Amino acid sequence: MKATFLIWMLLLLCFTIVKAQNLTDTIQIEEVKVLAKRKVEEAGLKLTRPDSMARVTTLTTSLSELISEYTSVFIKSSGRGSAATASFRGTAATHTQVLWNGMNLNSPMNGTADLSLLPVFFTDDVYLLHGGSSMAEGSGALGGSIHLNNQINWTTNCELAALVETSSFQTKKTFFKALLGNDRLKSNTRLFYESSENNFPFYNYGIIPQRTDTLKNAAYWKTGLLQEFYYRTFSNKIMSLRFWIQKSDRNLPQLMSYEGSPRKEFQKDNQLRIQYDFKKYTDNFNYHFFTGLNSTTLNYYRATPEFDFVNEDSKSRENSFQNHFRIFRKFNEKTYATASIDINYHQVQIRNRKNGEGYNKERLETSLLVNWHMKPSDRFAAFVLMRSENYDNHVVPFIPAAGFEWQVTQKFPLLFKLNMARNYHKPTLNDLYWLPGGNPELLAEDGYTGDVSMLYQMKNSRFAFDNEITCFVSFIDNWIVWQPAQNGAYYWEANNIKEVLSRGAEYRFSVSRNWPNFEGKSGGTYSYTHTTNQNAVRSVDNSRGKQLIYIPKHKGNFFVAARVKNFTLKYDLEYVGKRYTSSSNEESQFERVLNPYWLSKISLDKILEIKDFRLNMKFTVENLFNEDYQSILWRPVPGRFYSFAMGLNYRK
Amino acid sequence: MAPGAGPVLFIRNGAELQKMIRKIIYISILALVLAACSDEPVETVFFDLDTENGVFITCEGNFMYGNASLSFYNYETKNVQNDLFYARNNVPLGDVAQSMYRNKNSLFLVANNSGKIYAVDPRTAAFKGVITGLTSPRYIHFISEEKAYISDLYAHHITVFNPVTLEKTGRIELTEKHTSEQMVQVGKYVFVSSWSYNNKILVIDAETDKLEAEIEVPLQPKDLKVDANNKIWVLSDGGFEGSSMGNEQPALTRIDPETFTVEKILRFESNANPYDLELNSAKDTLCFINQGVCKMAVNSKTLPVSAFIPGTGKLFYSMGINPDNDEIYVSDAIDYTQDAIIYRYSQSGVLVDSFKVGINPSDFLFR
Repeated sequence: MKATFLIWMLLLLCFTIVKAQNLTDTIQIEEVKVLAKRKVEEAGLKLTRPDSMARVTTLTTSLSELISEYTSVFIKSSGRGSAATASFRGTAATHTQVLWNGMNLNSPMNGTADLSLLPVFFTDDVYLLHGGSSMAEGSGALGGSIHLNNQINWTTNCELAALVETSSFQTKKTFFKALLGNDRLKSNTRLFYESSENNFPFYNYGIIPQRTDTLKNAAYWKTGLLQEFYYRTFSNKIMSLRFWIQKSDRNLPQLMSYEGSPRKEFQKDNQLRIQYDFKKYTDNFNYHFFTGLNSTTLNYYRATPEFDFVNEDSKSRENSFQNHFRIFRKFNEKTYATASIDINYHQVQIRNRKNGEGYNKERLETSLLVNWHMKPSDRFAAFVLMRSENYDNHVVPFIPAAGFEWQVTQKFPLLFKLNMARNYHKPTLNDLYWLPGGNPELLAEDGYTGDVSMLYQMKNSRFAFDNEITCFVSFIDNWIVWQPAQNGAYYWEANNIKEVLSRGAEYRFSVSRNWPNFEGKSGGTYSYTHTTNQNAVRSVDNSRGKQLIYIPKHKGNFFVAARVKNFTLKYDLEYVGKRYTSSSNEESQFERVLNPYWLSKISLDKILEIKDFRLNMKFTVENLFNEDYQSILWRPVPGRFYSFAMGLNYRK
Repeated sequence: MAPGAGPVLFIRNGAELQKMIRKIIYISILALVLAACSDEPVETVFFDLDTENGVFITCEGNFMYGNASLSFYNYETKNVQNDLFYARNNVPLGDVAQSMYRNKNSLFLVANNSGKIYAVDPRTAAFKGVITGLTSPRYIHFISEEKAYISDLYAHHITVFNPVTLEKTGRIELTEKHTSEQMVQVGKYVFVSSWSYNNKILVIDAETDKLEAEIEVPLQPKDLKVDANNKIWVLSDGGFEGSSMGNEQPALTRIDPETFTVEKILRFESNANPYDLELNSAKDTLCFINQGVCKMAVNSKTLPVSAFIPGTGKLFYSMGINPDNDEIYVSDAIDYTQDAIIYRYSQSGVLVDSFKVGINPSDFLFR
């Protein structure tokens, strides 16, 4: 405890002044937006955009860490290197849609997107649309959507960057970026490779006698290439072609309590994403078209080698052909409209080589959108949109959403925002056709959501402050749950079981200040999420009105960074509140609840700039106070560990 | 309005900013200190269970949650004690408690997806030992004081161990076609159901520990019982639609253990899902769950047409029968993710008591 206080006191001394710095920082700090400056398409939307500092400080990590550390969204992860999914506002992983340059990356097979396989390094802009705001970009995001975009920097014709990081548990990461071209044509190449033995020590409370143990069978590696070509004409047309190829191989460790014969369990993911994108800008019309392929194979294998027994050896292949055409029209300074059409075709083939079972299914889905934007003054903007969708011979004719934002007075930069929407989420192909237990009779999950926000932003030459508070409520009917078959069959099956009511609040702030020799920045988010099952009919069912399992009511994060000359010291704090693991929210001292935890991280960053070169070094201590916690029941997590990164940038 | 031209709402100068930052840090420190102070070690709880007048109940918990548990219900005092294993030993029972057995002065608890079997003192639930190195242990069958079999869902062999020393002493190879599930013994032969994707009852000579014969029965035989006539009853679930093994109607099959032949097959309707086969104390009446608790005399030529204890509005998960008085204990899993309720019925089906145990009760052990 004394050591903890000592470190705190040191931190206190260090953080009287603040600012963020970064590795291979190529992004400009954004301007603070007031309504007059905002894109009319974004008016009325609840949008979170982690700033460039957040993106760059998590550049060597996956998207799950960026979102967990800098937004109010809760990330559920089975551990370091393992799959991670996002939960917006107490909803399920399938209710979060992840889009890369507009292309949906969620698996049509299981409905989720694994954020641990999305490197921040492969993105230039990340933003989140919460609740009904996601309707502007697509449907199915009952919780919200995460948008990863690539943007080309036309101001430079040559930029090279290399970044290496080494950290505890034999973890090595290498990143490389080459941006080359001229004013018309650009090529941007990005590569990464990451591997880890992931054999961290932990105290095992799950076996007798309790003892210090080492995580086994948790090694992983992943590698990827993102190649982009951009071409622009004098007549304001921009064409781009993107290839993203990625492979990963992750061993899957057992629970702490496992003392059986060693298992060989792994998951191999291969992804190929190709996109052709065309944009044309005129005075009154903007056109956007893309066509693309998202192809994924996943191989899951589990065996007990000593027993010469293979439990499962399944391979799935998913191909999603996605096409999008959007027209944005400016009628006059006050009236705008967007119309879009999406035609997507998905193929899923899954086969368990152990027993030959599986399914081959296809899905054709279309979506029409008309979105009417109004901006009658610099202080008021609104939208009304209507979607109509079709999938598997189901037609969902009316999916409306509407919202507005209003700056109350000219003098005061305070905005009110309101957003309401209906939304729905299609059953995944596994939900419908998995053997055994898939249920072809499943209904789509149907939801209504609304939020109201108050946003205050101000900025001057030395000081910037931005904060937003949002209250939300969502109701989702026909929530799909997999559970043991109700007819007594021994397998699990999918059913429309729950009605879920989610309500709560989200708050975020950021503040920055410049002094002559010091710069500082701080920020944080907090979310309160009360998400409950309303469909507990039986009197003995104690789940009515109780918090859904694994969803924290309280989640927050905070950072403070100080820059003195070329040194930047940054401290991050993350809090995840108590989570229940039983639907009735039973409290017990016997690990029925996952206790709240605080995670601290501290990093020191040094930059050296010589002409066109910039050398960057960063030392980070993760889990600074060696917090012992569980993120998922009986899944170990590492204690304090360290990383060192070095980046070299050249820009001409 | 140009950015920054408006009035500053909260902060007017650098000094105020510094004050604010300090406040945030102080609050963070306070919160951390409070959080750090809230961790208290779990205290060991000591039990002295009246095992002659109660029933142990294992609760599976949820697969991959590691939240299996052990409960004890005293049917004289109607007192329930949950989380016995954790409370006494300060560690969880593991992932998916499948079954349990009492042998001499040890209670054996099979932690299926933890690949191990715990031996504890039945009166105190105190840890006595553990058999590790299994992969998916399901059931135990005791042959003698020094020999017992462990079936395994994910192994092509049965593990032989010494219940006294807890040492593994051998394996009985079953060939690559088979795995092992429930076991019963008649004479020197142990009959083993090969459930997963199979349709065989395996016959093992308990003296030589060798597979001697296979008996074909309806698809996916799981539960086994030996009745008063020394006949073996097999409950097959019939697989599922779309299975690579095909599927068929669930069935109750009677086997003659002397001749290794099938004597009778009673087919359920194709939409039925019977499970958890039990016998009364006289071993002349079979009970199972099929939309409720059903009873069938072992000499009956037909299956029961209706449930003896209706399951309407309940999610019956497992069942046990007290050999002392034939009272029937049925678990209701409610929604499979909360503490289940156990209904205690008299022999004639009258509700006597109900009580809460852990999540998804799997097995009952009386005396």
